[in-house]
Amino acid sequence: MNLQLAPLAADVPWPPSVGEFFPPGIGGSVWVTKFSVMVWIAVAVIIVFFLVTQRNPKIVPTKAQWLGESVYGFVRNGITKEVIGHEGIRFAPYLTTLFVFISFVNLFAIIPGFQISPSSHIAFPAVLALLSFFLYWYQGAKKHGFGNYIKTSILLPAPWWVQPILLPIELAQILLIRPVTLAVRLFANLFAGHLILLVFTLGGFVLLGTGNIGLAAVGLISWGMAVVMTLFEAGVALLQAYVFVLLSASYIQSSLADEH
Amino acid sequence: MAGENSTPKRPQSGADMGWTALGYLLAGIGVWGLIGWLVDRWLDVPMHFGVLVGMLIGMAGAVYLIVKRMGT
Repeated sequence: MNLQLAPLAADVPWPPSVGEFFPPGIGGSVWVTKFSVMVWIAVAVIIVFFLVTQRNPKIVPTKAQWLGESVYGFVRNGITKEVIGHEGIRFAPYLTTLFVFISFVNLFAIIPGFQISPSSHIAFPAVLALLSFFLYWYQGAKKHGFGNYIKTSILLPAPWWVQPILLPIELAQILLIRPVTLAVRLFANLFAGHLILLVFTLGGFVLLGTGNIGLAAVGLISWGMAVVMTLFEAGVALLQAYVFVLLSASYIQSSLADEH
Repeated sequence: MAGENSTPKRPQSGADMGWTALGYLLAGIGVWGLIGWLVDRWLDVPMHFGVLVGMLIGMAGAVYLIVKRMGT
């Protein structure tokens, strides 16, 4: 379709492409991009947040202390204790950090001025998934011994002739499927979310720019949808952080379990 | 079984079980589909018959695992 674009829409990059997710380096560097800066900001803010809220703990918590404690308490009691049990409390700090970091980084997708999340670049979720992956392997190997761990997590009480069918499935499950789905689930949700926001927002500009009254009205609806999807994205951002942490906890639990 | 002492098997949450089941199905169909495909290549089986059989075996294995692991 050959749309006559008015000046309003002339410089809108339409249609949105995958290039959006590969921002150029800052200051001529290949290594420092918008994403790395966002991750640094997230790390700094999280460190400051917990330092400020937990610096001077009181028996009767102040408001700030209550905020910090309720975030930690949520992951400690709501996820760690629930999934791993009492033995799992020592993982609560790791899981809380993971939860806070992923939530924050995800929320960059809707914070004005940033509006794209590092999680929508596969490298960031992949590194986080590898962390959890090594953690549950290490914990399993430490508790059961390496060979024993593989044996308990792969072998099932099943008739011997079923074992050859199940073995490759279990192996693929703990070696490949778990870390890959962990990373891809987070990445794909944020990637798709950003594309949806782009399509509705930029699409609104393009439709308004056509100068056709009917299409302009659709453009306004498109912007309305952009607002709705932004709220939806906020939910997705927190939900995905929760799911990531929940699954990490559940993998650690299955590594520690004596048998399945 | 008998070895359960320090970490009892806990009831899993709904979403958790869902993801586990999905993972098994993906792993089963994927891995056995791949093995079937390799057999296809190796023996020149016509019409991707190996992939078909492989995926069915994988699916059956995955369902078996899900029932064994998560069935009460």
